[in-house]
Amino acid sequence: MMLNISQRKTVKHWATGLFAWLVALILFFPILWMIMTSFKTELQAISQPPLLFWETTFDNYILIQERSDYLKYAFNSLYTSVGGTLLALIIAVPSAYAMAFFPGKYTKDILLWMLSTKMLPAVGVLIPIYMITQMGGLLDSIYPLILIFALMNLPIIMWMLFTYFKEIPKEILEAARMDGATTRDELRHIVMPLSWGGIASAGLLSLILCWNEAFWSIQLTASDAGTLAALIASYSSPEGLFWAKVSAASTMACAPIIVFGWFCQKQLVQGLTFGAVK
Amino acid sequence: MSTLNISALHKHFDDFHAIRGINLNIEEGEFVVFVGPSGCGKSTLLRLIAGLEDVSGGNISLGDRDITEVPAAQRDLAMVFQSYALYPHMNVAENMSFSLRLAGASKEEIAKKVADTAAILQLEKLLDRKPKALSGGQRQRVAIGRAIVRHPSVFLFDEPLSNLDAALRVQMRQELAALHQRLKATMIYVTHDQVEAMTLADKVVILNAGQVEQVGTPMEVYYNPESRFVAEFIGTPKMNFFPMDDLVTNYLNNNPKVDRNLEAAAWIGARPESIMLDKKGMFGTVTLIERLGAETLVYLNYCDQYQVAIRASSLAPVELGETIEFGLDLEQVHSFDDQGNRLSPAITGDLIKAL
Repeated sequence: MMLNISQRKTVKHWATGLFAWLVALILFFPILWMIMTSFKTELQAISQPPLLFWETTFDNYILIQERSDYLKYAFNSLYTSVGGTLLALIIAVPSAYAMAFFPGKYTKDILLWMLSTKMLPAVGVLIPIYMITQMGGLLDSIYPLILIFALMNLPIIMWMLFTYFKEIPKEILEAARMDGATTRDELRHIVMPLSWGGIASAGLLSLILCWNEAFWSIQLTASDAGTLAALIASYSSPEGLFWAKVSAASTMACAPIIVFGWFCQKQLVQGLTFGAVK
Repeated sequence: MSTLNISALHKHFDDFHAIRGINLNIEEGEFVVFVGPSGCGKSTLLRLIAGLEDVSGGNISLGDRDITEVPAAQRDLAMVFQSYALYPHMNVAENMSFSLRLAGASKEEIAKKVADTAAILQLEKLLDRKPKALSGGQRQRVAIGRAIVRHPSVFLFDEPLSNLDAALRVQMRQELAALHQRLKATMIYVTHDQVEAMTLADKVVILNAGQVEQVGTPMEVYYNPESRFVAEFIGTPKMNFFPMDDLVTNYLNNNPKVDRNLEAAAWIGARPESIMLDKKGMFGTVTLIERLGAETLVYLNYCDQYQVAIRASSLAPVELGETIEFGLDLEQVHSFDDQGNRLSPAITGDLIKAL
């Protein structure tokens, strides 16, 4: 069958759309399956072939809330994520300012070195960090987590802010200096307002990375300071996997950050692609 | 009160010796222009005065206050940048009042000063616009307004007009001159444009390779350049130079002696207007004629290797390719030694001194 140009365009349009939906579905499928499983009983969850239709139950959610206080874990996640991100930003903003506007001979090297720390497998420093935390009597406390989250995200935040600050013409800061601005004034009245979008997206990214962090949360916390990652992990026990309960816990852990990410997606995309397209 | 004093100033950038021992005195209320070719250190010198660069050696003092080590923010100087450097997130009024707000001025004081300044610069209607909604000339005005608002001891201008188009540049130049008349403030102005230097300056400072070549009024540096560098740099077309060979010696001998001791020179310099087509004795081939209307510029090839520019009358009867005879106004020529230093005593006219 021969198609004219406009028909061919329509087909192409639909084909592209279909493909995009397919990819999206593949990416989204595990999450969908997780949510579906969370509304099944443990038996339904492991039935073969998998059930596509079943009687939904909220038992898993109720059980989890009974066995472990969801809100406590959620707040721990919130405190550590926000705390870690704020701490990282407080350190990163002045440092990125110094590196962007007063670069020295080794500024580039320092930036690269900072990034290289991200290549170190976390487990490589597990023992020293565990020992230090233990000696400080800070196991199962949110404070070492906040510190670790901040340090963990510092290189990425530094890089993002550095790139953003670099975009500010040097003369504007010099003009501010001639106008009588101290370094703090420059940061407060010029640099931060001008790169507000960049600081926001760096912060958002860090929040998400902190929220999803599992390794250190699981290693360093138990019941008191446990984050949502630790909550999920607590449902995979030696006595056997409880798929439905793990799914319910995971769904509850993911939900807040997914909603949050949904609302901030524009900011995030802009932040991550910054410099790529100008 | 606020005399600016620079003594033995040096600046090194790693291996590069940008400023090489500059001594300079700038009186209160003077309009001083730093001029020189690119890379001569004029902008660096301004930035050193501003405090935007660290001094490697020497001293800067303002009045009886040594400001060599004082941070830029506390020097009481205002600067206008070539790129305007307006704060993009603030409107015109906020841009102008930023320094006052930092200094903690009262709301009434800020409002009054901004209004006064806006009136001087005709910015009243633009006060709540953001910089990106302004034209180049308006931006430049805001940048100047930002400086005026503060009533600084000294204004610093770093090539402020070079981003403007030609017509606007002339207009802003005249406005700056009027502003200086009105504020009677000390202004230091960096430019590579000698027209700006000649028209704005009370005092021109000509810089070359990090050193001061000459300091003087515009007329002094034009009529009495102390070195061949200054002679060549100031004036368009450039001053012409003749080697002191047999030909020129002959020419000097054949003309009525002037008491200026020109014979000892290695080079004779003559401005395009000091070369006369109605005088005799030297020859050249016409290579280019530029008829500008009010005058005609004639370019000659002299002795097959020197280009000579002559400022001739509007309707001068010259033709391309012809060989013409010309002569020098020996009262007005300059003589330089091999090193480019001036030999002949200055041309002393009462008129030049008065200007």
